[in-house]
Amino acid sequence: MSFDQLFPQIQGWVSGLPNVWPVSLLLGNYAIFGALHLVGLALLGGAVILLNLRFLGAGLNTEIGLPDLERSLRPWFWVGFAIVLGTGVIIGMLNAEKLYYSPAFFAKIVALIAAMVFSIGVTNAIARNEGRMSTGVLIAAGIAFLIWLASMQVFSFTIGVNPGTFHMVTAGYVILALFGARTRLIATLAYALIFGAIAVMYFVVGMNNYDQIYLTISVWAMIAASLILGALLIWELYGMRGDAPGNLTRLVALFSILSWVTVAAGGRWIGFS
Amino acid sequence: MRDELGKPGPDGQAWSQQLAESLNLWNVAEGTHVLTLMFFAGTIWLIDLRMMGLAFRNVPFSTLNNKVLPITQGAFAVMIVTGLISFFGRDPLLYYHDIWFRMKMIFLVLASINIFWFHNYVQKGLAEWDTDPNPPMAVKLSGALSMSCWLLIIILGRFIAYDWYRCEKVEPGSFVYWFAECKQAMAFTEVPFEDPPAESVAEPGAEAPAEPAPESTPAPETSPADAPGNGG
Repeated sequence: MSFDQLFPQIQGWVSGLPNVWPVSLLLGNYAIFGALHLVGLALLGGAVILLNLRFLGAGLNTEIGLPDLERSLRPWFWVGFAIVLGTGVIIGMLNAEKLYYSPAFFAKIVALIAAMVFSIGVTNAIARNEGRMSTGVLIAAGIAFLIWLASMQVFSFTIGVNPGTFHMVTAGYVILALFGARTRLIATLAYALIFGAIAVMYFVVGMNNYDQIYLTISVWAMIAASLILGALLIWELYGMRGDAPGNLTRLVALFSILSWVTVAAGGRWIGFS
Repeated sequence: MRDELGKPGPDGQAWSQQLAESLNLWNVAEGTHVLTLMFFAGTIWLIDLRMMGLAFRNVPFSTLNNKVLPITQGAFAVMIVTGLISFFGRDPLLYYHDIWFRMKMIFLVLASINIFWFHNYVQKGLAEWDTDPNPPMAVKLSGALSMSCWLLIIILGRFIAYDWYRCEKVEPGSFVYWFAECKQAMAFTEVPFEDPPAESVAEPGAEAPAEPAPESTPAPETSPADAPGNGG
């Protein structure tokens, strides 16, 4: 899926975007805006990650009240977001035609909607409410999660983009390995076994080996890693029943981080695919 | 498939060359390098901003540092590993003679010197300013230096993908030519390349020894996807 399939009628408009004033003045300056896009990503990412790690019980977890933490991070979240959005619109318009046909870009934008709902409608609301989640916020989190799943669907099933799924799978395992209450060890072992085996396989057969069999093995390894990750998450969730009220928030924090990782990964795989 | 993707290559090369020709392995490593920026630069900047008195003014510096720095350090380890894979796994000589890469390394050294200065000198008086929302000038300076260095490292790192100042494009005698040691880089291209003799005229035992030069020659068309398309 890409925007050209969804909106075929705007093809002419898209191809004219690089010539729209004042973006047309920046035609020779793509590189600096592309670089600043990464700067914004880092700042935004830092703010998002610190807040969500707090929900997961890491980083700044007791030293500062939740509403205070959110208030401290808010300006940097918005500065990072403004840089990312401003530079993103410029590099997007200068590169419009490629993005129009890019499934990675489509996945990125869908993930961006999910990530925005998580960050602006869910996690900051939970923080301001001292960690309590209202029904409205819970519904928003559910909607954001479903939107993120849709973006992952595009990411995972598009040939050429799907290797990028590695980033989200890895981020999921890292979070489980660091914060999983009961799945920490098994998550670490499963990840090391699956991706270690792939590394050994390519070391043996040659990393530039394009034989279909090794691609098929890699794809199935990724599917297995994703399914195991999903199962471990359900196991974690199951273990949370009756626990402290903040445990559903941990899950929200996990998917909030994964949504932003998907946005960033989508951006990088536009260039690779 | 190899031909369709324009990634031809005989078997049995060095692992660096293999990785460069891999279907996805290099992309995965470099993608991880870029994505980890969120965890590395994003967290170190928040510590820098606290040092500059611009963020977390009501949290003691030591608290922020003790709680956030481990995340930064973990992410830095990932940056180093994926950075090394990206460097050695594409065309190390191309990067070695790239002006942006060299400038990036200079700022990496500067950032390290700043960390050394901070930990060994500035941080000595921590007890006096730990809870101060407005730390002393030396602390602010160290924070500002750190933030600027990492900002430039990101920008310079992104510029490595562009071939504007690759050795074959710059004039001998120019600053870039000197700074990137282009004379040394271009020496590879001056090695006369001998085409392998055609089958019909080849004499047994007369074949030239394996030519080491081609893959180490700066070649922009095989460089990490140049030009706009690489962005996002």
